[in-house]
Amino acid sequence: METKLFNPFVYVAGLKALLLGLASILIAASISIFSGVHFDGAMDAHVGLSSGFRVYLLENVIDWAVTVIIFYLLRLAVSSSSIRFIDILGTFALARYPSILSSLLGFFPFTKFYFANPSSVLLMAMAFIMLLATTWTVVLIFNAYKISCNIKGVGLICTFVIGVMASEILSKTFILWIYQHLKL
Amino acid sequence: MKKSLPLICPSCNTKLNVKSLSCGNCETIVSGNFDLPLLSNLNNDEQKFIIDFVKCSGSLKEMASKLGFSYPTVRNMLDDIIAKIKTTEKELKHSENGNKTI
Repeated sequence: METKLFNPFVYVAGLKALLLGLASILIAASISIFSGVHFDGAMDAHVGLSSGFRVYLLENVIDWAVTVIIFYLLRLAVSSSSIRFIDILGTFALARYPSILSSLLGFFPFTKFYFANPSSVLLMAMAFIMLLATTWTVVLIFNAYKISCNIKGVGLICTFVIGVMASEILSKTFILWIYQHLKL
Repeated sequence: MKKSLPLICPSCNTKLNVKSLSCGNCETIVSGNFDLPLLSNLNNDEQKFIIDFVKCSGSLKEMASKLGFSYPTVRNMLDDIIAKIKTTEKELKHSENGNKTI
């Protein structure tokens, strides 16, 4: 059970993982239309202004694509193992499935209290649930990277930390640029 | 009870060699000093993996469906075995060179 929740890639990868991952992205983006949860960074989510489906979908796709590119490049530096790009695409897409949980958070009444009273206990509760979903995603991305790129030891830890920070910064910057320059 | 082949000397931790082999039919005994085959340095699970891999004609996809694991998981298992074989080869070469100098 624990493996299926935190490391499903032991059993699922490649095209199957890609299809499941893309389905998760579509579901999360669809829920966000009603809940207003934005995924404006590879690892995080926030409740914000209501937008169209295209905006939510684009955010999710950018988060996924930036993470895949960064980790693929990092993998070239530390591993010579022959890997399939479809496994990276698939496992990293499937690693985003906790975003379905995050996208539901906008429905809870405490998010409205949050805007009215930012210092409330409800804010803490919301932040805690968001943190759980984010941690879950980070653990999944770690396992996706470890399995699809076959990296171990110090190289795995170092490149993963660099990858997480770079993905977050680049995806946030790119999404912000899109908000400013494209009419969505 | 299935006995496993001892590979390391319990006294000095050096790799063991084969001293004698016997025929199960006529009880002839052949004595000498023979190296153990490279694959015997792998554990039972790893040897089974290699046998299954050969039976699957070297198809990782087929192995993955047979074992119920994903393709990259099986490929990583194979990579680990390859790394272990390479290390063992180096050790054997090293010990051969050591014997020659003596």
